[in-house]
Amino acid sequence: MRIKLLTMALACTLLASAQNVTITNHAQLLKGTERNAFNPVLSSDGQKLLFSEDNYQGLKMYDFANDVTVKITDDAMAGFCPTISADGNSVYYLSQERVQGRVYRSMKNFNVKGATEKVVVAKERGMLPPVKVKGGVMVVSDKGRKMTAKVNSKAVYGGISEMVLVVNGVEKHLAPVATPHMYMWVSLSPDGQKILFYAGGKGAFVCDLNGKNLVSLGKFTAPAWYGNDFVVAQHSTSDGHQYESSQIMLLKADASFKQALTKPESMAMNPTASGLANKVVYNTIDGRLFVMELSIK
Amino acid sequence: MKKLNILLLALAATFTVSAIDMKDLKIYVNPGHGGHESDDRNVVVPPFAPGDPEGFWESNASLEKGLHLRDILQSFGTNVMMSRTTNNADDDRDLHEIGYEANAFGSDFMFAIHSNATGSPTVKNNQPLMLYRGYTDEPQCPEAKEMCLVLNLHLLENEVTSWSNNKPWHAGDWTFYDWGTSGLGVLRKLTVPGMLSEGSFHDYIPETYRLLNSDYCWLEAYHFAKAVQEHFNTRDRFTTGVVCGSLYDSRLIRTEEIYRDKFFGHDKSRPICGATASLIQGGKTIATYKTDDLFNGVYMFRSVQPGEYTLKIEHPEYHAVETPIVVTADKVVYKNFAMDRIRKTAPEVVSYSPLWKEGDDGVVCNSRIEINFNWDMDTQSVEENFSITPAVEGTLSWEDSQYRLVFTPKRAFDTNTLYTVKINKAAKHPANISMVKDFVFQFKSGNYNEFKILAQSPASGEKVHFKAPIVEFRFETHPNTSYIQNEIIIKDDQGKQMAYNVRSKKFSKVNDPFGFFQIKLAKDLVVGKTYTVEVSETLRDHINMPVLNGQKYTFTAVDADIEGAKLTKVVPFQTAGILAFSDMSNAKTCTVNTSSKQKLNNRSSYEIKYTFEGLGTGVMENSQVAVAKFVTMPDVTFNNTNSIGLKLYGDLSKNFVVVRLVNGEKCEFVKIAQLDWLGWKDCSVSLANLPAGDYKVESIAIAQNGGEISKAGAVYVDCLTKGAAGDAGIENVESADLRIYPNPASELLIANMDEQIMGIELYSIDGKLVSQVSGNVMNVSEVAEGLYIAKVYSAYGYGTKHIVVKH
Repeated sequence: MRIKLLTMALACTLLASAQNVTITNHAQLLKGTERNAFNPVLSSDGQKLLFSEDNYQGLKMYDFANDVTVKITDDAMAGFCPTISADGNSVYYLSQERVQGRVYRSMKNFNVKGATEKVVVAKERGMLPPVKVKGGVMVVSDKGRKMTAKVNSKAVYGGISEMVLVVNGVEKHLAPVATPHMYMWVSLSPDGQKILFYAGGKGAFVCDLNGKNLVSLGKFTAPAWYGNDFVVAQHSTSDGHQYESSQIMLLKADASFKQALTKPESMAMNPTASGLANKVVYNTIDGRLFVMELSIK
Repeated sequence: MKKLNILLLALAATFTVSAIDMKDLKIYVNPGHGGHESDDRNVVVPPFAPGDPEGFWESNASLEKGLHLRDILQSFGTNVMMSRTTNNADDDRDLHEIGYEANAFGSDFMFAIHSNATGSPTVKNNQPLMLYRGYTDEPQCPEAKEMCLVLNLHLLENEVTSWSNNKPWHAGDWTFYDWGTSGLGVLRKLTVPGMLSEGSFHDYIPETYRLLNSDYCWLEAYHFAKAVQEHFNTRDRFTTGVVCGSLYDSRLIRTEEIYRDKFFGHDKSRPICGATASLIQGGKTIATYKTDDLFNGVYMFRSVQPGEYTLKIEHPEYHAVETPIVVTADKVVYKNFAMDRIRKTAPEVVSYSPLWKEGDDGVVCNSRIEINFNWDMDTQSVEENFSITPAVEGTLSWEDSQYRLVFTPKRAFDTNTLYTVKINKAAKHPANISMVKDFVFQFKSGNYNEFKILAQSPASGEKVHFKAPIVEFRFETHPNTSYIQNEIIIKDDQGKQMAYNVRSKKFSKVNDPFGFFQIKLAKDLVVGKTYTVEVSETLRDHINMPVLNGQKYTFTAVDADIEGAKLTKVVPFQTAGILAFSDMSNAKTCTVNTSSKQKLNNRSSYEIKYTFEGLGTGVMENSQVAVAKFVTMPDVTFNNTNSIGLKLYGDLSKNFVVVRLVNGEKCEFVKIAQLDWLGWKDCSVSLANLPAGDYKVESIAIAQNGGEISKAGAVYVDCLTKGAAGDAGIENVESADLRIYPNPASELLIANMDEQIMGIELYSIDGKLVSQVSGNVMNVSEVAEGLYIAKVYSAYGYGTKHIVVKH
């Protein structure tokens, strides 16, 4: 009976929003070969997938096309929001070390074709995750901002109580939601017209490049774009000490629609998506990766 | 010299390099979850109502500590980020975002600040617990474990609180919790070192009150800051010192129910609210601190310049105290004070019990004597000046913070006795002021002072059938059943307590005519073994009147079916139509029926169920009888060279079982047993005193003995037995020394015992003789597989053992 009621509730939700979302495929990735795979990050085209250990240690890349997994690094923190360049040839990631007990990070680049790594920016304090820009990466630390690309670019990153949009080197400080905490999981939509972010303590939001037309999506963490109109995010509950439930949600960027893609008891976390490939990848709390393909009409 | 200088320079350079400034550190502070919501913890203590946001909430105390830690660290220039600085719904932040934020901030360390709870109203604890990610012996981040150890020691320095245990307590969350490697949510997403501190137990009520004090929370934050300095080996240290402590009454204790009498260290003492602590230097008061009204007695001076001071504590109701102290930079001076109240008036008795006056009924004999004073008293002087006449053995104790003296008689007062209680006026309170006059009162005791046991099974020296044994005690009044199954216990021959089948427990109810307690043992007894019954002297009736004495005695386990084997089973009682109701009965009711309710070795028996009118005379010859007659008198005769026996299931009524023997017109009544046991028993008596002649058994009767327990019962009868007059009551050999081997046996069965063995008989479980030999060796190779009873005869009787034949 509970299943029937749930089905009816879901059907009602779908009818109300006039949105038809179908999960066409849902399978475990790398089953039997990778046991502790967490923090997945898809490339824009959905063909490559980065993942690491639970505490972001190390980084591996799985290629959907040839079903090959390569190890990029064992570095600490490499799995904390790494990024794959638009052409799929470069992976940018953080490398963390401690000096006299203090945390330092450097930015590294992994060349996929040559399987070589190099330091893009040497160790600094307070370095944020890499921000992908056209032709390179933007690195932000306590020392300021550096850009490896010289072409015109547009990028956004989060800070305390605000986020910073950089367009062709000109920065704009945006604080559409008042919070004493950080702006997190900040990203541009694939078409570069909207900003998705999570304001600490407030929840996930979408706004335009001026910080206007603000849309509240709700208290969903780790939001990531699925195309230009949809967002995937994590919905968790805890008792303050440990997670009690966690599921993956599909949200429309204008907040007109939301649908659970997994059940609360799935303990699904850290979603990543590619609208181009109609693909969503997430990990479970025990370190299994799952991929699902969606049909949205 | 030049070499030495170079070495010193190098060393100095090393120290310069290894030490860092606190302004170069980034610390992330997570004061737990906020919001006063379901995942928050509210400990309700007066004067706060449940749910009052001003009352104790873990989120409040953790935030208080977190804000203090932020302020302390920032005073050294440390870059601090907090996961929350307020306490509303937005502050109930997701664990994921907290981890992300600590990482993105680039924290050098992340502290999750919490407090602990046992979650039980009765179990209390107060000890800091430090948790880090990973297994205890294999932390995910070794620096996190190092910080835990450092912080743990700093927190344990706190002497304002009272720890239940002063030992460090730390663990990896994967080891501590049974959640596998998912661990604490707030630690699992960290790329930076981090830990979760459960600083103390917030449901230990004295600690609950302390955590309501902001300065006490500051002290915990101070210890966090000290741990940061030590862990990172910072150049910065506190240039001032701290002076703090706890103020409490030297004699009064906390008695409120909310504490559940669970205290550690000085916490039992009543804290002093509204006291003023002053720091005095050169006669000038530098600072004052007034203890709050939240029952914690905490005072604190946070930033005191190093130097010599006088610390003075004052309160209108207490004698002031002062002490010199030396304050050192970067150190805490802990000074707790037990303060004496000002007592100016003489002590006197304000009330007492028991209250009695001439003409009143006597006082219940186990009453305790209570004497209440207007002051808390000097216990020694009062006890020395207390007397009761006539003298009674008992104990003196104190309640309500020495305001109430209690005398508890060891057992109970003698019945119908006038007692005089006196407190000589030399009794005094702690201010050395004595009472103005003697205090004397009298009371007379009542007429009941002993909880009497009417009957008990197993009884001392009894032979108890080994199978399904039942313990039953019958009392004059109803027992206090709170602890009775621990006050009447059975131990085996190794001294190990036998388990009861607690679900079989039965007690008398209010309207029952007598009190009883019945319970089954969880396992059968072992034939031949000796057991001990222990009845505690703490056994009480429903008004807590004690038994006269405790008891300790033994009984032996036997197989009632094969007991008395020298007698022959002449009527097995296995078929219908053997016994029937006899109109010779004059009982109120009497029924006689075959029964499968109580069976001896799977055979049916006859039940004689009866009730008697009234309490009986206690004289068998004049008593009421319930009679079962033989439908056809057995074709067996008895004379004065014989013995006669029955297998009886007793009902603990203390009634008598009698057989009526007839010889033509002559008849004789022979008492077979008094029913002072519960369960099966072999009973036999000699007929040597029977008048000459051959007699047949005509009937079996239950004759009332007397008393409430004799008014109703049910006796089961199995097997009429006959033997020589000298065989009656012959006991079997204790079989504990009997050794039979091998067991299981397939070829030869060998028996050994201390006495010479005359022969072995092998019986099937249904009582059929299967094999019989002289001597101590039996060939069982032709005996069918199964369970048997071996009876091994010596010159003094026989012993039994269960054995298995297996080919």
